Amino acid sequence: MTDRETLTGDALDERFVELLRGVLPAAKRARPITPDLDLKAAGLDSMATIELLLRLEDAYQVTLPDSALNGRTFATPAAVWSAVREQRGA
Amino acid sequence: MRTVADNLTHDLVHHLPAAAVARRPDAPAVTDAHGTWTYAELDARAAAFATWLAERGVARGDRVLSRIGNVREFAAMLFGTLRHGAVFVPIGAGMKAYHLDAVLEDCAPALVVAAETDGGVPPGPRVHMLEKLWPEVEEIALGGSPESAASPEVSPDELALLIYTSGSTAAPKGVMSPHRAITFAAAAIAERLRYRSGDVVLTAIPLSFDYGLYQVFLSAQAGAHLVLAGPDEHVGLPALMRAHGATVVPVVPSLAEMLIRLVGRGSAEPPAVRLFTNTGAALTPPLAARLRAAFPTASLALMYGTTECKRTTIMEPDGDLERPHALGRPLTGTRVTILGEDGRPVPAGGTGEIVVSGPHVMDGYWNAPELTAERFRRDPETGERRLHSGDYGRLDADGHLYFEGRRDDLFKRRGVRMSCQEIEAAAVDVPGVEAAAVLPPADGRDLTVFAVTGLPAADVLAGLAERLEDAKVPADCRPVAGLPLTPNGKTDKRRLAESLE
Repeated sequence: MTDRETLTGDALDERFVELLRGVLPAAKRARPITPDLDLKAAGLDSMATIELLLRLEDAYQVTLPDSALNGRTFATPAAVWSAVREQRGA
Repeated sequence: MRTVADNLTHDLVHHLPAAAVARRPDAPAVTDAHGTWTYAELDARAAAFATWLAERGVARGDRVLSRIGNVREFAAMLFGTLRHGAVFVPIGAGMKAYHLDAVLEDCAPALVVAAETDGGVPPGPRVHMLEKLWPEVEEIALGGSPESAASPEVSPDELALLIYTSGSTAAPKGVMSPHRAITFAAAAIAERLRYRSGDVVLTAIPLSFDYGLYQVFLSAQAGAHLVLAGPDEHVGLPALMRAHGATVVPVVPSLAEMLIRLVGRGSAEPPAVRLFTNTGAALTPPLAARLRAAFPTASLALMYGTTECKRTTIMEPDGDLERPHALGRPLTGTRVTILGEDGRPVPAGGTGEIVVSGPHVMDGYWNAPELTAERFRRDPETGERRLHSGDYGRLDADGHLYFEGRRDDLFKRRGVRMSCQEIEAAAVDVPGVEAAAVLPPADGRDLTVFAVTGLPAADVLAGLAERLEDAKVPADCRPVAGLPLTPNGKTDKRRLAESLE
């Protein structure tokens, strides 16, 4: 499965994209959110990562396991979405 | 009563781990995302790095600049560089090329170590990538070759570190930190905080920041276990703390906030921390209360200081509950004097400039004699060198210090020291910006830049983001046709502030 399919495969969740947009800094918000966007370069620092984690867990009623709480999970929108989907399916 | 002298077992920074290396060689010294080194392993790698530097012709007194993040190689390179008699210059991942170029020119390093994952350094003949050089150091360590006989006898008066920090200047400047001042400060801090060999010190703040850097010294001195975490690991900190049994955690407010929120999301017991320390930016009483509620086993020690003397005061753990807003008493063996406008000491309770004297006062700024003369002045009566911190505050009758602000344009945001002047200088470096004025964060507004430009606000902010580390990039930009002036011809920042209300 490619990154793009990870997102589109679940009917490109608009709410997810909006949540993500909401935690990225205004100065860097102009660019489109693509599945393979480098989130760190887009301004997702530690604090924003944690904010995103809490909002996602709340919105999708999931709890990401300790093993998913690292930089790799939050590297791209596709990686984040796949971690969330894994818990929704679980 | 124990004194600082009891703790001051060494006057050379690279001797700080010696006791642990001798007595508990197999105890864990430093852990990062890739693994753990014992004290014996750390010692072997520090010696190997010193040899590696000698093989590359690095001489005593040369600067070795490092930009490698919170990894265990940092500790080995730090102690190895000092063993070799060279000066270690730690630079953080956040610094952009705009300031990095100025720092490289200022300290003229004989050798640079960079990591691909940590912002990098422009390539050059003296620039080595950590990923490539480290196997060479490991090979030297494995060979167990004795440290080169030419290893110099370093004097405690020699420089150990240059720590770059923001001042009221366009570019950062390097605080010259000699071995004797660093070892004194480390012993004096230890006297108050009592790190012990059973402690596990979780350092998630950058090692390039002196608050993080000194965790290496305090841990080594106590024989404690230093656990390093980089920004990628922040989201997993509670699990990391549980896995290693973290007992001591230095925090800035943003890190405290992150820990509180992360611990609050699960049902697991919070990690059993015994001590949080805070400096860099003050924890407000409400944030301190939330931290205590989230970690019921932990005490909290508030501290205050500045890179120019490392640490000024430390409050005894939980002393802030009885004296809200107090920052504790001066380190044992040092003094804080509050000077009034006339340069004379102000009695207890009166506000004035916080002036610091003692063996922890550093040697001044690298390549900046005028700035050094301005901040590091002689006491007109005793001739003692004193640090004029530029911070204003007061002492209470018991000698506790209270911070009240600054009267120049230096301020802190997200724990990072910065000045309006450096942000304004970066703004006019953006093509299309003719002039700029910066307002520091205050009640009801975040860091804001007014730019005389035809560019859209987002472009100015993007230009600033290319030049400055994230904390220094304003939250808001207001493009204006011109800046209002005071009758003296200075930018009228009060009118700018009013325009935001």
